[in-house]
Amino acid sequence: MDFSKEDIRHLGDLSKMKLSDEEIEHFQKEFTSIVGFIQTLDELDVSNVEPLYQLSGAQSRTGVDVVEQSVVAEDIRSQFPESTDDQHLIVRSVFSKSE
Amino acid sequence: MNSMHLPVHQLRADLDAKKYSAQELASSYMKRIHETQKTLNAFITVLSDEEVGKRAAYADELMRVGKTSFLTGIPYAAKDIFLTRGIRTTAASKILKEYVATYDGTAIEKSADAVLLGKANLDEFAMGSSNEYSAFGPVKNPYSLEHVPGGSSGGSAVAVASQQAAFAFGTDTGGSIRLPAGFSSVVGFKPTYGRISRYGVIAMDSSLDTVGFLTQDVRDSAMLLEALAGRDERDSTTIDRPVEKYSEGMEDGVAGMRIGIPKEYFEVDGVQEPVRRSIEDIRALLESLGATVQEVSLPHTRYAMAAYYILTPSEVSSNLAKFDGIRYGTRPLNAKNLDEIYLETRENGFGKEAKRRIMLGAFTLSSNHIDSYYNKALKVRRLAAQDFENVFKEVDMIVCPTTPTVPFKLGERMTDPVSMYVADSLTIPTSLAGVPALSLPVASHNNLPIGAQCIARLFDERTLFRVARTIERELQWTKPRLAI
Repeated sequence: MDFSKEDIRHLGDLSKMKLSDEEIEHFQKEFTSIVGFIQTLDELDVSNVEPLYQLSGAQSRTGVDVVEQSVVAEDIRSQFPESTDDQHLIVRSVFSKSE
Repeated sequence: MNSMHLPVHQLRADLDAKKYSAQELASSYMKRIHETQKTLNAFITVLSDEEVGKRAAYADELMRVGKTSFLTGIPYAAKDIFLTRGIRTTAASKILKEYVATYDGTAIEKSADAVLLGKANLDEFAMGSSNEYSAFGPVKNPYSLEHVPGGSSGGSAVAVASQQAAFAFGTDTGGSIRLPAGFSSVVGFKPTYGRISRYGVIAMDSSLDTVGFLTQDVRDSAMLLEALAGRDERDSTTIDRPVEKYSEGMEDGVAGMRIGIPKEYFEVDGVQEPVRRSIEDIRALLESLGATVQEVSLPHTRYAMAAYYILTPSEVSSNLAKFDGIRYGTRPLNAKNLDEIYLETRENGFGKEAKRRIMLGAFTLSSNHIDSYYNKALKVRRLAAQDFENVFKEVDMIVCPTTPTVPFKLGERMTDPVSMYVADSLTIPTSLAGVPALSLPVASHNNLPIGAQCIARLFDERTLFRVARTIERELQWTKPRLAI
């Protein structure tokens, strides 16, 4: 399977990555080679095989509800380099008016 | 002090006999780190001498009052993907270069009596086979500085190999402990999937990630498993089974055991002659000790790797979505809206292999392609797991090479990702099946290490350690010499 520059740009968009022209050219070549390699699976007929999602048979279970010390406020604040004082976190605006 | 070549269980005995204190032990390892770090680059973060001294003093105090566990006072390294409260955890990525976790993961918590020396280098987000995909520079092979140490737990393996830590935590998804163990001439152990909690370990491929160890010998791996295994309410994939005495019966030998050597593991591309020979030597040894060795078949071996390189990017593209500049990552100052924050953070924060896998995952999960890639790979994973089930009806253990080749040169495989992926071709099938496996140093060629891999049934770590220990004890071979 061959990848066009448009294909790579589209995958970049889906992955929220702005790719440089150089990267696009690079990934175009690499993806053609990697997907060529994973296509060896086409040799196998798996129509009667059940998919295997998970190995340890994880089951959801209910936990015991215990009150315990969770994260300390100071630790949370330390994750925000833009904070100005002990009480407030600065959260930058992320939405802009559409042009 | 000259004890740094010793395994943990001997350091334990020495500490208990008061031959030296935990503080003396820790400072001798720190000295070694200061000597080698510039050259080998095994660590991303080294703790200060003062901080290490404090931790060691705490261990000395525990020993003084008789509250000693197996790990009390043992100096160790953790791959920099294990969250550590108050010490930054980067996952070797620019995107987390300033990230400091607010809690310790389970493995770190269970090792609270041990002395953490630093956070070991790795391939970014544990994606790679050579430790060259690190935003903090590559790790060098301690036996030959022009060669790679293997990845992704390269820093962990090198820290133990070059006596900068008594043991190290690593993670293994498709070979990331066993491969660097093989390339760095140490023991690398990956347990049955779900045996050790992954809580507080940054996820790469959640359905395959395992926590394991790099150690000087097999006994250390068994003893560490006794300390680390067990159900954890905070990780729903941990298995609810009692923790056994995994080191028990280790010295009992292999007489009467049935050992299989998979023929397909010698048919993959480029298995080198010295690697082939090392397995022949082990075969002869095991037979001389009373085991029956036979050829077995794992017919889906060559497809396992293709399935892995679909499943892993798919899970990666989902797991790494949270590194977006809002939840994690450094927010770009000039971004004008949400999309720009995402795009700039991720473009600048991720390295090449991370980008490659995220985008591949976007492709293999996209609605047009999910059936021919992701869903198909899940079915092939079933076939790969069944291969092992079938073989383990005939034999008790599998012995095979860890990697097709000796360590390759730095830079040699950087331009061709598929050639890099092939390094994992003999470790991946085991990961897809979830079975426990261990890489053991068994040979060297031109001073480059060669490892052999032992693979056991699900949950049968005891047999794994017993066979590996027998080979370790009985095999005659030439150890490579450290270059530093």
